[in-house]
Amino acid sequence: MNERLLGLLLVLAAALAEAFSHVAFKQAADHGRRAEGAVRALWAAVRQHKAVGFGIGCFVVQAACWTGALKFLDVSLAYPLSSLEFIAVVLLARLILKEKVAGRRWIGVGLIVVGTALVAVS
Amino acid sequence: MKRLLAASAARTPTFVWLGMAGVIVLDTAVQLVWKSVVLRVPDSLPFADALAAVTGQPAFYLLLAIFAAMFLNWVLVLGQADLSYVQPITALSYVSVAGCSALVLGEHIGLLRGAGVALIVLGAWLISRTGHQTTAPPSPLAASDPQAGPST
Repeated sequence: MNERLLGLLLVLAAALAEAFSHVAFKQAADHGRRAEGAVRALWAAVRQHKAVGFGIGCFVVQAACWTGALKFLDVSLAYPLSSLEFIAVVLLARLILKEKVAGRRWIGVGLIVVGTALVAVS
Repeated sequence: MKRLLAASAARTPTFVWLGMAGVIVLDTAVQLVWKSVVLRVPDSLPFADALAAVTGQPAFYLLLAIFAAMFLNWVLVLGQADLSYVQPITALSYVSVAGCSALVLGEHIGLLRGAGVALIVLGAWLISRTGHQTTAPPSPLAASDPQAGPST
């Protein structure tokens, strides 16, 4: 496998790992939705040890994949590609959390992906 | 479910807006503090020495405190809104970082970056026009069951 392809795969893996971590934190946070007050909501969320631990683990994997990607790709290519994370998050939120993602929300995400890529390459 | 969707189409609560603003402010602070920490570390140091130079700075502990605050704030925001709603909107931190870089550091914002910032703002505005919460919370029984774990 050539280095460029490996770097691209690592960028994708980093985006997916970060998206999974957000999904896990969201699952933990949902347990605080019925709680009264911010402190009780936080307490209910952080008690979800499996979800919080999985989320933190995914962040570590994301950092490792990103560091690896930067060894094989120029930052000028890797950084704009990292905006794919926004698509990964919305896809997983739709598939795992069963959130209703309206067409307008998808268009907004598309604009943000293009916008962050432009900011990154400028 | 129809009632839930109708309720979610109502305007986004102030709490959620404040939380998202908190994410953006804290993310911007992280970028600026991190940059200041890295700038004080000479390029030529070996990894172990560079790590020691980073962790020896008081600003590094400020960075850890900001990360902790970000996590707690993020969990509170996620408890009140869809992940697919709040996470893309936090891309507005790219806008605030670009703005701070121009105002504080005197960096130039070219046409390409300006267009990117405009697209991010437009995208965030479009998302903000959708319902902020489209799912029901887990049942209290599942929340209190230590064996239940994260639901999927």
